[in-house]
Amino acid sequence: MNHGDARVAPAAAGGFAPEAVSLDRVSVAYGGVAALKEVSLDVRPGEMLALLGPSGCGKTSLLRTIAGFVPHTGDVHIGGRRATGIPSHRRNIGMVFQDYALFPHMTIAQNVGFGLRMRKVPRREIDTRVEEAIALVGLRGVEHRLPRQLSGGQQQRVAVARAIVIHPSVLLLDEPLSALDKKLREEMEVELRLLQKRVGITTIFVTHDQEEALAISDRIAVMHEGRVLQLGCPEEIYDAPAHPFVAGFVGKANRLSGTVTDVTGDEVTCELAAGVRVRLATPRAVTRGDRLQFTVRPEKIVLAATGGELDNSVEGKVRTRIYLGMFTELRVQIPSGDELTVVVQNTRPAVIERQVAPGDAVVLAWSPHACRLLE
Amino acid sequence: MSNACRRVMFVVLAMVLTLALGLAPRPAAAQTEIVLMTWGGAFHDAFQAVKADIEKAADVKLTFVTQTGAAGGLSRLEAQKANPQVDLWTSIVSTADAGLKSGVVEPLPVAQIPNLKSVPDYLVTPAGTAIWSSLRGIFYRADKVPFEIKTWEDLWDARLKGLVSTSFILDKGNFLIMASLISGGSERDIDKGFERVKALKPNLALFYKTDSESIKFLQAGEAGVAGWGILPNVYKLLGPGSQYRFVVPAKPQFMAPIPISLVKGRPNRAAALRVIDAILAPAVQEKLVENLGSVPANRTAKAPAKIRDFVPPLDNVYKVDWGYVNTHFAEWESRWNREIQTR
Amino acid sequence: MSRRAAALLVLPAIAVLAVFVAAMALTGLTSFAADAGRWSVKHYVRLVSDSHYLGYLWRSFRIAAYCTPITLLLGYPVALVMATASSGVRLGLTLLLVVQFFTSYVIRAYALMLVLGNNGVVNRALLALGVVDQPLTLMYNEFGVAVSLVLLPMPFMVFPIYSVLKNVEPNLEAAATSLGADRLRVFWHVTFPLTLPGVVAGVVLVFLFDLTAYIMPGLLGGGYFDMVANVIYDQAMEVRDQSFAAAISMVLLVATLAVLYLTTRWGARYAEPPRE
Repeated sequence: MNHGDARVAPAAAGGFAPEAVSLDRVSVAYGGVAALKEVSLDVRPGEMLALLGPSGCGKTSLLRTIAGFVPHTGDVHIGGRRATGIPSHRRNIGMVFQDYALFPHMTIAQNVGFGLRMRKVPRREIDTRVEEAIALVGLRGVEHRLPRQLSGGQQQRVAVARAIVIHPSVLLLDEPLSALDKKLREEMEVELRLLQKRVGITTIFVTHDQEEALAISDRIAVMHEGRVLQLGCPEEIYDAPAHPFVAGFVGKANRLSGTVTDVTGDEVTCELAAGVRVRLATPRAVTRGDRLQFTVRPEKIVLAATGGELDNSVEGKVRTRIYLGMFTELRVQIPSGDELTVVVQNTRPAVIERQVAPGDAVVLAWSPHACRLLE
Repeated sequence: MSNACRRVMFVVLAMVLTLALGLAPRPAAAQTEIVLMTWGGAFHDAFQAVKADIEKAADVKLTFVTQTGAAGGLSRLEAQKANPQVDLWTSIVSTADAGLKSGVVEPLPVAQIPNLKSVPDYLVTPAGTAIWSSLRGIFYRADKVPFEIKTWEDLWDARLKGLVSTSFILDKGNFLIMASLISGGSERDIDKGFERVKALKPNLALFYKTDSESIKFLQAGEAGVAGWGILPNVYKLLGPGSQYRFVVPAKPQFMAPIPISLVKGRPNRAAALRVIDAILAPAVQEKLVENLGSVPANRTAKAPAKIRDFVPPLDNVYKVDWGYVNTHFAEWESRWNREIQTR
Repeated sequence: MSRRAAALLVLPAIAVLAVFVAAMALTGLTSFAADAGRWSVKHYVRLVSDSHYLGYLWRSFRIAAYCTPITLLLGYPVALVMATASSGVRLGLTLLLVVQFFTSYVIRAYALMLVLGNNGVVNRALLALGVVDQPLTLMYNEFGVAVSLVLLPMPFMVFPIYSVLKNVEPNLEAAATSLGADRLRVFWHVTFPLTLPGVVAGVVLVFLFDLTAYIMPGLLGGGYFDMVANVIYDQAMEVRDQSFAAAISMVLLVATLAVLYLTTRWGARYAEPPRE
């Protein structure tokens, strides 16, 4: 269970390696209120796992449970070793807090070296490793400053350096980027991802920002009301949400419902209100008369004039139009009464592009494979 | 100026005005007000009991202000010298003398106080006239002391080992003067006193600076005897069934005349003199001393029945030369601290 | 707010300050006053050349210097318990300390007499248990005064530390724990250094309280352990040597200011290192 193992066991080969972190029916309650309900979760060595969910979903409690900060039932294993009952300070974890929690009275070098001093590492070795860690996060030259003399982004790097310098079994990040402004956050996302891959450390991070989760994680666990609803790689979570909550929380989704009128092979025809017919590909068997609920992502719908020949095409009237630079977001009402959000790539400059205005009649088109059936 | 500013100014102005009105002298009452500075506790209670009588006789409104000690009172008078807030002041003889010397007290116009004709001459000085005399003696707990204390010399009894408390500061070294007297000296031959008190050291447990401290030490059982006791404050602890005893040894006897002094520079001088006269009236005197266990200044007034039991005939009262004491006190104090109040 | 309004609002503060400064200045002048309206340093010469009076100053500084750390050692855990315990325990402790605040020192010193005296609780217990056959002298000496100087100023130590302690970011302690520090080391390396501003405030307040103690030496010293405030009082009120009293006061004041200056400078440096 050391850092070296994690380095030689990349995420893709994780099938046979012992799980870096494993939770078995873990429950946590604060004063009788359940924060985690029988959560079981296996984290593969070397992977970057995002715990994604709205506030109060239990993601931070899960992180703090792994860190050993909260009493719980069920079992926690870290690096194949049972961690339940082992106090935090002996779990060999690296943790980065939302507010960074840098020790304000210590210099950057003292902050980064703290974990090594607690481990009674020889002074000389501490100096070398601290220097390396500070270089790794690109902060050479600030060793003798105090945390409050650094910018938010710099403090964030120090927090990361402090956590990884001890070669932890697992790195836990609690909303690590949420205190940064948007531009810096996007830069740090890339940096964090690169750093994590280079060091090869198993990392679990908590976020409420789906874009961040999609951008930098190997897998995402979407949480809601103390449970993990879906665990999968970003593409799975986005394109194949297994739960209405996941579909709604990750990305935007148009939700539609109707009755099955025809089944041919793996395609079914579904009739919405006012006789609007939609064809969709379904992986499971359905029969005529079933009520179905399904979603279509806004970017999967095209305006028929600009798109190719797609199987579904529905007329509609533009209600609102929001120009967002890279793309334009339209809200279109179709005869069934549903209002669909449609995202149109602005592939051509606005002066040339045909301007769609509210009130215009348009035809929407999308592939049956773009429809996702909800459970 | 902005509205907010004006509002702030208004509030501040209102506060200043309220304060000013509160501090301003109240409109003159129909009756002249006379302010008497005296001690709190038993003394305040005693004066309170005769307040109405005095007000009626002198046709004034009498107000009391409290001093923590005679020395504290003098400090206050000196601080208020430019604009005194007190008409009359009770203290002890040495402090009243100091007040006369520093000019806060006016020489007493003896001729303008009719009742002074009944007060013995030795109780009247330019610094003020005694309004009563409080007795000095030995205050002790019968349950701690294995014999009945009768004389000053008894304090040196070996049976009182570690039981005696005393004071140098209280009454300006009077205990030391007493020790000198029973060794054949006096305040002018104080070495004899120091020798005598040194011999008392095996018996001495601790020292107090105020008589209320002495009472606390006795109540807590930390001392069995207060070698220099002041009657008025312990008076209420005495009585049938009490374990506390007060002894006035036959020789030498000490009485502290409590002078009342006329503060210089106040507008209602005549009224203040009427108050002194009213306090010296026999009926008021008897009521006052009844509550204090003191000896009245007016010789036509009677001492309270309760003290007649343990007060012998007062024919050996020693008159300390406080003028002499004042000039040597600093030297004595320093010597006492080095030679006596150390282990 | 306009300048004028602001000036009006600070006026009372300035007035109060002016009174203080005037009192100090007056004391300073008095200390140089000799007979017949002349000026002289003779009171200072007397003080410096007389080991007896110098001894009181030294004694006061000495006892304050060792009682203050003991108060800190006892008070810090109380603050720690207050900051971490349940609200019930916290309320209880706060009430206990606040009640102390509102009880006169005479009463508290007297209460201590009933504990430490020859007939006090401690001695009675020891006698009853047969540990001693003579009451121990726990009072009327340096020990009794020291006990009172350790215990009575406790609120001055506890409250500043508590107020800083409860504002220490809990994540800092969690971070230290995650980095491998056990409770003791979390306290020593993180919590304690971060509460130094409170500790410095408490130490300064208690040190000054001890240094200028008046009632405690009077009651618990039994006349055998007067401190400098008692001497100043005696000189000013009983001996009526205002100038000598003022001279002792001035020396005490200057020494106090020096201690205050050094402590706060040291504390500031330790608690908040300078920016680069």
